[in-house]
Amino acid sequence: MMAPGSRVARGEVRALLRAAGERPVLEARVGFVDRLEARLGVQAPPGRLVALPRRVRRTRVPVLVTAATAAVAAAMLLGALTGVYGHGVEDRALALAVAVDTTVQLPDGNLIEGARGVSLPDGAVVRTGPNGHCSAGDVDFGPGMEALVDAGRLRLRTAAAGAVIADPSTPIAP
Amino acid sequence: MGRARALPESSENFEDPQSPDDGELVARARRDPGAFGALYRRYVDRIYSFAHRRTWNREAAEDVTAATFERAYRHLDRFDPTGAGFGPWLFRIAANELVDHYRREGRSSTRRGQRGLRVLADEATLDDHDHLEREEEVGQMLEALTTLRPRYQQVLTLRYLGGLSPDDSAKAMGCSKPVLAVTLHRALAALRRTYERGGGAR
Repeated sequence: MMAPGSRVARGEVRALLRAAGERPVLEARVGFVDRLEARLGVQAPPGRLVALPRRVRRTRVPVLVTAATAAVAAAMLLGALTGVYGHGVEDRALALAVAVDTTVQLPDGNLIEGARGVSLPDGAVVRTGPNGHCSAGDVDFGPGMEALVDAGRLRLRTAAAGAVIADPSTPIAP
Repeated sequence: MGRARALPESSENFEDPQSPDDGELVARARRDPGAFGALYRRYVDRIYSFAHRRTWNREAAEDVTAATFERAYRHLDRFDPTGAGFGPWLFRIAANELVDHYRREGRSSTRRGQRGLRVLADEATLDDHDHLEREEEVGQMLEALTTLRPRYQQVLTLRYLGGLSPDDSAKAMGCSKPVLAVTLHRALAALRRTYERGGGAR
């Protein structure tokens, strides 16, 4: 391990900075993004300018409805814990929340362009291009990374050297 | 299924070619706040990620992101559409805000962030010993970075943590590419000296 206080090669400094730039980061909280937009007093016009999907806004619901929902949720949780619903891990649906310059290789070998909402089944491989980044679940990936979807989670495999991305000019079926 | 190709390393991807370009949106945003909203939505994730990579602290990243967009919106009239693009301009503001953040907060945020990083690394199952050791080195290097002069912090942050191309980094720094290269060289040397003196170890 390279310790502070010892001699360090210039290339190693660069390598550490690059590593810092490629670490996955947490996604911005939806509430934060919305609150800041409201604070700025700007509202993006509808259409493709708004890259993010519609967000579920909080609405007032009657107490009884809340209580009933909580009861159903508790029952489902209990069911999941006791195995009523079978394989919990397989039921988890991971999807891309953010995808820029990103491709997804499906388990059957098909390569599709990464986009918000694209499902990531187990065995899929997600790659970000040199200027790409993507988010799924609670993980963000920066440029040139490759991750395998395993048990409903993105697991970093390696930085994708010479990463390829889908040609944006070519329509790709999601 | 689509054709795949390799992108050139230096290509930058600030704008979606099929959307109104940033310059157009900035021009509209001077009259219509909604147009700034579109710019905000276009860049908020990237600016947040940039700030988070630097601070490794969610609250700090949110503070820096908010300050960046507030300042950009307030000073939109100062943006010169014939100069650096909106993206580099915004990243420069964010880099300045990061410098200010560390000036205000000292280094405690980085240390807090490193604890958060451990959690993230665990959650992302990047938990092998070598990887964590490497992460620690990265964290120490980032701490050393906070001790450099602001211009050096900015250039290293933009180039390596923001992932800006040399061209966009130069635009963001308001200098030519040769000047950027010299600044970057000096900044790296200063960072190395600081790290060797133990400046990143806390």
